[in-house]
Amino acid sequence: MAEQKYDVVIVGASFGGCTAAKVAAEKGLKTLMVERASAPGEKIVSGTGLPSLVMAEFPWLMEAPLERTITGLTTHFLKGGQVQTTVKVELPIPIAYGIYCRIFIKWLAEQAVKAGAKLMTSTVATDVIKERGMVKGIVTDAGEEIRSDILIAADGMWSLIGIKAGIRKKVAAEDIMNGVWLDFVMPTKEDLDRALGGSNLMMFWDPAGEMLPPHGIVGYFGVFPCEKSFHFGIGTVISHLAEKRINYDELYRRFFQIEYWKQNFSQAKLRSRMWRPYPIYAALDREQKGNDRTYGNGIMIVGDAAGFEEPSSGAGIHTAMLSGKMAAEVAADALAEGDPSAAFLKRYEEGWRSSIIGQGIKNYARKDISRYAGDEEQMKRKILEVYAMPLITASF
Amino acid sequence: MPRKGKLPGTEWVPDTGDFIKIEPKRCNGCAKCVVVCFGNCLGIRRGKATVLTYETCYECGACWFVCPENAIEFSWPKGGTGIRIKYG
Repeated sequence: MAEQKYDVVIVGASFGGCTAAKVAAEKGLKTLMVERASAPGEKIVSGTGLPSLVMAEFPWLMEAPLERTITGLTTHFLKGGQVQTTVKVELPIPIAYGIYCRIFIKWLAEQAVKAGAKLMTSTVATDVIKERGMVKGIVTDAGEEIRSDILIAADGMWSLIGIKAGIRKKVAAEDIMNGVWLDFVMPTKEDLDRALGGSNLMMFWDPAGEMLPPHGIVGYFGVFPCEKSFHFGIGTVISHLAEKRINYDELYRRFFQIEYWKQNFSQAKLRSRMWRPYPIYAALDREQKGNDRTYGNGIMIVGDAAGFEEPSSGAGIHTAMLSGKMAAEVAADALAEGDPSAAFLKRYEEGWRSSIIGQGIKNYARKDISRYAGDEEQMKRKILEVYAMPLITASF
Repeated sequence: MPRKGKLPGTEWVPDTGDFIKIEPKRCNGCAKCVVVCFGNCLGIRRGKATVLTYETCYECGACWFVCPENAIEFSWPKGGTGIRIKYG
């Protein structure tokens, strides 16, 4: 078999990987995406919210299959098992777009392919090729070697490739939330509009911790709307989950007894119950412990693989796409200089740290929360302050 | 070929291979992996964790993340196999 050799090989064709591939191909690099699914998008579970700020960075996304434009944020505060107060923020501009990953990512991968990137599906990258301390490509589950000058690991929060390359470790169980998403469909778009009271993203905050399991949870139930369907879900930190044996069915059953829900969402029909771990604070930890890096000799890691997440909102799509773009740009510069070493690729880490990815991480250091671990009242106040308010204000 | 998944809104392609491997010598039987698995894919047999099925596995890796003894080796199902999620 002829040796396969690319300028850039990207593991994972999702938000970060496809963006990196599109940018790399546009810069004239010979680019390959390696995807373990039979089609990009079919392994993904998401909150379905594409933050609108990506549009400024990637105007071509206006052509994407977007299900709904979200123009505001409705926050319900729960007390005594009911909605007590509601804060509604409506904006003249979109704050996010509802998307389904299976459709959106398929389209995103097509854009990368149109730009000249190659897509290899049904292929697992099982290992990295290392020569004299440099990452030089991957080994696939078919036993093939695919060589690269630069490898971009966009393989999600597990980042088995980042671990194999030795630049990061497995994320600790206390730094991961496992979200359980329910997918509901309403009879018509108008029915969902009515239930939402417009086209807002809807959050149910439980400041007293009456309905949600206590700490360890990212404290809200969220309704993320698409055209006539929506995702509804919460998440719990995995280490907490292992100790407390939380019964999600019981939790949801209680939630669906809320009068507000019964009045507005009684027509909602459940289509799917999904779950997915998400990194929380992983990047913060890296900064604190100084352990992992997002680059090495011949390799960079992007998106969830790098632990990028906007800590205020839990959003990870825009950070994945932005970091994918940055990694591809640094790759192009590195190859133009003929230097794919860590010394050059360090520019990628410097770049994301000075971007909104790094700013988000800096602004919401985890220690601010954990400091109040022994004080429930302080903790609750802090959770609201650190998580709820920035999401609302960041939307302006 | 994909078939209707046991979980609603999914399809499933068999022949995944054993992508979750549990080293019995390391496993201390704490069952944390069993508790965090929303797909009920894992169980305890003779004091050790074991994979019961891959058919309801979301490939989420929670078992791998939570194992305090690093007894679980997590990889991916063979390319193109495993779960396909319709409404993700």
